Amino acid sequence: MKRCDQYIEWIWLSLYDELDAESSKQLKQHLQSCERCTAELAEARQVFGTLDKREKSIVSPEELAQSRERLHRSLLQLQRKGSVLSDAVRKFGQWFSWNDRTVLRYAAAAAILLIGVFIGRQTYGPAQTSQAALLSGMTDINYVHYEPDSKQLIIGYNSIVEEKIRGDATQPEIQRMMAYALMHEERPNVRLKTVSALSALEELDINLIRTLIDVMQSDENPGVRLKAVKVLNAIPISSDLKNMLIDVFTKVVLKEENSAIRNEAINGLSRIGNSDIVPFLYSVAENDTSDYARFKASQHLKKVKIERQHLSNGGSR
Amino acid sequence: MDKNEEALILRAQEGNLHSFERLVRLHDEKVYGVLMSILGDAEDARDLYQDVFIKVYRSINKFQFRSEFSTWLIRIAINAAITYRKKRSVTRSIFRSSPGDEEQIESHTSSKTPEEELLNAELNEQIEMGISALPKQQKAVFVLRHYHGYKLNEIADIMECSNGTVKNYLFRATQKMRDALRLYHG
Repeated sequence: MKRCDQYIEWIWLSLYDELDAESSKQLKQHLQSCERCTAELAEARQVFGTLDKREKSIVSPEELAQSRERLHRSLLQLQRKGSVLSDAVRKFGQWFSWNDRTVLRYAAAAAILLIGVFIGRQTYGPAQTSQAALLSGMTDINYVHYEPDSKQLIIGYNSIVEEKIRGDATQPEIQRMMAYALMHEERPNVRLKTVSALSALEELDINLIRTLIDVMQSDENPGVRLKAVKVLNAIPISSDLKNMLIDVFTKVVLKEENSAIRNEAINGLSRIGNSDIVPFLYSVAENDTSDYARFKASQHLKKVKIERQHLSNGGSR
Repeated sequence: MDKNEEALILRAQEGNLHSFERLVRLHDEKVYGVLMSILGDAEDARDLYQDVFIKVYRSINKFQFRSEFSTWLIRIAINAAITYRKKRSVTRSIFRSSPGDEEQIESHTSSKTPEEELLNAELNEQIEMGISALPKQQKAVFVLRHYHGYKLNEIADIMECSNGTVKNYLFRATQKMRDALRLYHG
């Protein structure tokens, strides 16, 4: 007779329809007489059902099309590099068959090494290129990554071939490229990554904040707009910035179609905590088309009310 | 194997980019979905999609028609996902922190109330957390079986291991998932 541990394993396999007929039969017989395994089956079914509630990983057709396009470009580059390389290898081979001397081999190796070092410095060296030269040769931006350890941004872009620069967020050329990626890059995933990289920076330059505000208000992709409003919601608020943000968050709440973005803007207004926004929040709590936005606005109003009560109680003591 | 697919593979092996891209189009949606399920992060899946197909392009000559092309392809994708290290250093949660978070590039419409959405988001987060904590091999087997409908013998082919090993991985993964979801089952 088998131990229950074996039957428990069979219970799970049976839920996946992976148990052979004979084992299935044995399991059924066992379940008729074993309370422990019957309870296990009930729980396994419950867990199985819960696991099925996981959100499906659906890839949108737009996302797929963008990835295919990006792959297409990479493959074209690879093909070009491949044909240039095979040509070079062929010529190199011919050359050696004519000059089979060791000295020439060393000379060729040294030349290749020097070319490699030169290309390496060009590709991975610090950002020294002037902004104008950089942007004029650039066709598009492939990615923006942030390295928290070095606090540097790495931006991959295409000119004639794919290039990469690395630098700190205070460097003007890096800022210009980030702004370019946010405002001109066609692929939303690159814009989204750029905003994500900004969210990791400790401090944001005012020009980048202004660009983010533009993105929040005008980017065509709701995911990018949402990320932008979240980043703006997390930056330290100076007095100069306060009024600017109240103004733009109010516009977003009034004009934005996507309720998740409106909710974030409401959070932003609430974080700024200016009493001037209370009447506006009342109007949102009453009129917004989204249940969740109305709920958020009334929650903030409740919080303000409690704080006021607390203050007035403190004053009367 | 489908004759059309075979012809595409042969032409791709001769260096025909157009044929290779037609092959990609036949399978990439599935590959993308598997990567998303294993990595739990849309941006990582996007990055890895490129890496996987470039790897496939570079090694297509090694495909010798000993298995289905899709099995070979998913094997490359699974291996890539198992050995994947985030390229981006920006630490991001693999979970959506609230309904309507950034990963939803495409707009998401739902008939659920905000409270239901919150509950679903919490449950989803718990499931994601459970999956992300699984050892890599168990995670791959569990995701392929539970969320992508692969049979255990197909998974054994993909992962180049025995049926018994795959069964064992699946069982251990389900037990860990049960523990991860214990709160929801009392």
